[in-house]
Amino acid sequence: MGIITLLALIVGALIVVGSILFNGDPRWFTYWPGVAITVGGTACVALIAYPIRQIGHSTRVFFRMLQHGNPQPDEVYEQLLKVAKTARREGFVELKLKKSSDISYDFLKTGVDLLADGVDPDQILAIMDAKSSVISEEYLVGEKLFNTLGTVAPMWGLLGTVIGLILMLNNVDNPDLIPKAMAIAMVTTFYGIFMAALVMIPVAMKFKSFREKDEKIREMIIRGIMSIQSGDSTRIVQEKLQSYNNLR
Amino acid sequence: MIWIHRLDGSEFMLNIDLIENVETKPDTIITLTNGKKIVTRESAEEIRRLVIEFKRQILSDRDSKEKELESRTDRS
Repeated sequence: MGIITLLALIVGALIVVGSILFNGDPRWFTYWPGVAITVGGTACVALIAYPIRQIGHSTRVFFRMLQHGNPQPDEVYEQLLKVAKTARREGFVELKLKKSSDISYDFLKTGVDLLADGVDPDQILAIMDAKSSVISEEYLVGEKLFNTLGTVAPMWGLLGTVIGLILMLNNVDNPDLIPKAMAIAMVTTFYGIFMAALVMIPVAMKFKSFREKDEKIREMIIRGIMSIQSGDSTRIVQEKLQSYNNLR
Repeated sequence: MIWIHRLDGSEFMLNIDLIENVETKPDTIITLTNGKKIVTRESAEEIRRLVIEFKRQILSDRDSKEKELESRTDRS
């Protein structure tokens, strides 16, 4: 899944570069001070708005999302059914042993641990709900961060353009140079919008869609664990969780 | 009230009047009238025995109390 994201990123960039090269000179779009303003300015906004630890963490979360790909409900579904089978066949305590080999999803591991310890169902629900909220929060922070960057990058681009225009209008010694200077000023806005449109906003959306999918899976896990705890047969557990599996 | 143990070994007293049913799944799962489920180490048979034991204790206390009251009124 990370492959498609990477490809789409490249294709997006190529489309823009392609349309530039189609009828124009790439040098018209190269203006390093402009790059500095948009990239630097946006970075400053990030550092002002969010603690640096959070920024680092969100970046790590993003690469983790690329690495693992979209959460797969069917894998977790199968694992949950396995847990149900073991619980009904050998009892909750046996779950402690089976855990590490069969279960890949951390949140599910937590649930199984709680089952194996014989924790009260109310407590199991409270603990898993709390954990789930924290996990969602992690993705929400990333989403907010990149949404902020996506809003602010075009602003900085515009800022750069405005600076350019002011400078230009004040330096009107040679009116023939005005169009050229204006073109250079515009480039900064281009950078800002390009950054926002291809990177910032899409990444924010990625955080969001990932979080939503993950939340559904966690919901399925909570339902599954509670169902197993209450003594439901494997068949009943399957019925209860069926619809989550079909969400693909 | 009977003393029973959760799966992790912790002991607690259960109000037996709240017991709706006891199932073997294979762990013992007690369903209370309020819908709550409790998983215990004791088997279903164990629970039954404990309940009977408890009620027997209450009744024998009642019997001995009655006898005591009778003997008091007899003397008067």
